[in-house]
Amino acid sequence: MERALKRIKAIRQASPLEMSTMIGAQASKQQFDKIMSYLDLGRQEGAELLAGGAAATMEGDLSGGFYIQPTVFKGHNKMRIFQEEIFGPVLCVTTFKTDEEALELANDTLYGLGAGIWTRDLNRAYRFGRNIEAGRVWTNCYHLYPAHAAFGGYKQSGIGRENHLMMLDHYQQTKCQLVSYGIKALGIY
Amino acid sequence: MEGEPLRVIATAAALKLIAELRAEHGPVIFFQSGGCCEGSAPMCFPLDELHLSSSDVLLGDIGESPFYISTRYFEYWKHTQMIVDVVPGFGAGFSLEGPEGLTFITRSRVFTDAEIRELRETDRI
Repeated sequence: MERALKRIKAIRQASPLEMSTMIGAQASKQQFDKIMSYLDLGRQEGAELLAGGAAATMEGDLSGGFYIQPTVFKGHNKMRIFQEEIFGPVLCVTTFKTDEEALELANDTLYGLGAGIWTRDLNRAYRFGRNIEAGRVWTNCYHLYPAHAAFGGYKQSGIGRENHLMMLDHYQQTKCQLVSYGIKALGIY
Repeated sequence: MEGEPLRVIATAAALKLIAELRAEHGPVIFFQSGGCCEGSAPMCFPLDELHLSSSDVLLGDIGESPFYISTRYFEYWKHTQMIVDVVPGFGAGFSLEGPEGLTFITRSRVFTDAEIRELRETDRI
C-alpha cells in the first residue's frame, strides 16, 4: 500500500491540454459537487483518509477549476463510498485474509459490470473469474476494451451483452422455410 | 408526516426550486437513482409520470413531494440522511429541473447512534 500511495502522490494534476498531465478537472460543477459530497460522506462513515480528500487549489488560469485531489480511503465494504460509483479520482481500499473473504467482498455489490483480479496463480485466477458476478473479469490487466470482447453486466449493471461476434446475430433474421416432402395430399390444403 | 429523525430533507434552495417546478408542472415526485454515469442523483418527475414498483420505499416528503428509493439501494443507504440540495448544472437525464440550469444533488449525513435507535424503534430502517 505504501508503494501504491507513493505512485498516487506522483500523479501530475494540471491543465488537461498539456501532454504531461495525468489528471485534469471534472467536466462539470455538478460532478465536482457530487464527488465532494462523497468525500464528506467517507469521512462521516469513518473511512481512513490515506491520500487527498479535498479539492485541488490550482494557480493562474486554472484557479476556480473543478479539480479534485487523487483520493484514497481505507474502510469497510458496507460503506456507501464503497458501494456507489463516485465517478471521480477516488479509490476505496479494503483488506481480506482468505480467498473466500475476497470473493464475498467482490460480490457484495448491487452491480456487476467489470471486476479485476491480479494473481500469479492461474488456478486462483480461473476460480475467481468463474465466481465473481461480473460481466467482465479483467485478469492481470484492467480497463481494457477490445471491440471483439463481449461486454455487459450482471445484476443492476444491465441485461445482455454488446460487442463480440455473437452480437452480430442481433442484426440478422433467422429464417425458417418449412418444406413438406410428403407425396400424399395434406388433408384440407 | 414522519417523526424525527427525517430520512430525507431539503435545503432552502431545493425547496424554492421544488415550489417553482410545482407551479410550472403541477405535483412532482422524486426518485433517488443509483448506478452509473449520471446516476446517484435525485430525479424529479411529474407525479403521474413515474410508475413505482412494490420494491420502492417512500423515505418522506420534501416540499410536499414524495421521495422514493428502491429497496435494494435503501439497504446500503439507510444509515444516512439524504439532504437534497441544488447546484448549477445540466440536470440528470429527464429530471424536470434540467432546463432551469440547475440540478438537484443528494448530500448525505450519517445518522448518530441515537438517531439509528430511534429509526429502528419506529421500524423505519
